[in-house]
Amino acid sequence: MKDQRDLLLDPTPLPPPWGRVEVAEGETTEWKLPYLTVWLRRSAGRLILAKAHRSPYLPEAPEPTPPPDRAWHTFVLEEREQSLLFSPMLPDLPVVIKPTSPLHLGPHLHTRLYAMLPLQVQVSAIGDRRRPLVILDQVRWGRTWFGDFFDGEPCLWRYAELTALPPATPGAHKALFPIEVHNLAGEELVIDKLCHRMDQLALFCTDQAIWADTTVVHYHGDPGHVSVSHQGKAPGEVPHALKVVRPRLEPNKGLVTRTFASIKHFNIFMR
Amino acid sequence: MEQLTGIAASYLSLTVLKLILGVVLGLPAVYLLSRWLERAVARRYRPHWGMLLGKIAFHGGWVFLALAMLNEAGISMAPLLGAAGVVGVALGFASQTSISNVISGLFLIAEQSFQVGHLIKVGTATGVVLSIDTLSVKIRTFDNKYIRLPNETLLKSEVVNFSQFPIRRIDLRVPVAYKEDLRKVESVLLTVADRNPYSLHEPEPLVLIDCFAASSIDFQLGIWVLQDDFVEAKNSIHYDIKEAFKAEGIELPLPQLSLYGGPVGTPLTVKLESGADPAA
Repeated sequence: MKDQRDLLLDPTPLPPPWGRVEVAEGETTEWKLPYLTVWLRRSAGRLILAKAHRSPYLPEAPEPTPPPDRAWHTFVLEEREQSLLFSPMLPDLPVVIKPTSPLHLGPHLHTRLYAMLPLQVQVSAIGDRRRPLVILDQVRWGRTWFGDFFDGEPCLWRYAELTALPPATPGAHKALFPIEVHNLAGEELVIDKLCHRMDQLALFCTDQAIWADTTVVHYHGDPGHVSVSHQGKAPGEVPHALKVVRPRLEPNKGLVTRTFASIKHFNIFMR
Repeated sequence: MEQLTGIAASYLSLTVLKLILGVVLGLPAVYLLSRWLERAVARRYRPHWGMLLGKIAFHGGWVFLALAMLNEAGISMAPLLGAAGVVGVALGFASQTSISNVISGLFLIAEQSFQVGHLIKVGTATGVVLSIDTLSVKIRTFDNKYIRLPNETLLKSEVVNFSQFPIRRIDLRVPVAYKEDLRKVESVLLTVADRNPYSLHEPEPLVLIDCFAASSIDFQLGIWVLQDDFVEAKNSIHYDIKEAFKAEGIELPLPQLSLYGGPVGTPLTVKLESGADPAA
């Protein structure tokens, strides 16, 4: 079961297909993203929901069809809950980003990179208040292990370009993650993989795209000596973007957290 | 005389009252204390430590209570302790196995080779550890059998703990026909591992050519998975390999046998006579 806390702030600025969905009694409504289709039915105060994924490896595959009845999930709705809200959520585990080719960053240089990652989908019922019902993965994530054979943590895995410029048409189903890397060491930094932690990131929204706040990484010359911080405001490229999803963990600006930030977030560059 | 009888009766009734109070209040108190200790230790440290300390507290508690009540009833402990010494020696000889199991249990707990909830294999028994007790370890097998393993047996045997580490490798033997392009097979297997939702990208999957077998060239595919995903991963990777080989036209060979007749190395000739029914 995924984290069911409602982190959504104001859904109004979300670009389509995010937003409110009305499901008429007895009819089947379809809600689609490129790799996820959700079917919704409403019957006697209950919401019945099913989903199907399309594989990005099989672009020629036929459009998914609703699964058999046993694969549907039923949610009991309150009397006043007449419509649903589909909103984006950040992945609930760190994502290891694997670029096509390693990026070499010379000594004392810095760069700003952009990664695009798919978002999770939160389905909420709207009545007197908003009530999260379920969180769906938009894609079937690859998995990986961050640690050694004895101890570590599971992470999600994604092949994604680390581009120097944000894409012109990012698509509303993905978020843009700006990452600023400062190589403060006197040696070259080779970014082969990047473990991107999601729990302190917020989502910001323009009328066309969804952005995460900027992650700033300072590399001091040893894979274990990396400090990571998040700006907590809309990225410079979209200064007027509105905050739509707050972070799972609010950044603590206490002295201890700041002092030990490098310990807490060490080893962002997987080797 | 009546006064003396009255004093004796009141003394007796007071003692009986104390004994009843001891049983009514003491035993539940010992039980509750041992349960609290078990839960507190299990929550803070390990479940099996909690179970063990809870049991020690419970049994120690009621023995202490029994001794206190005997003392209160005016029964002297000295002859009992003397008799206990003699009985103890006799019991010691008779209960060597039990004592060995108790001591083995202490070693098992100190060594921490496994914990409650871990999946272990001892001899032919494989199951989830339900409890680590004073005399034995109880496990539940996958087909829901309850097995009691004496602690001494566990200490003497090889114990495989499948839950000790968070990730595990699944090794599969994949035979392919001799005619196949081995590099293509390797590439297909790596793609299958890469796309399988349970296979971890790191540690990286492993593909090895294992051997030239009688009817096939055997590959070994090793994928790393999370402990919890082991069963689903093992099933799904088999499906994926079969589907990928079918899509790529790679043959999974059946056992083959070459027959020779006459001079060494000359294959046996099989001729189909014209007009003969091959199915006959």
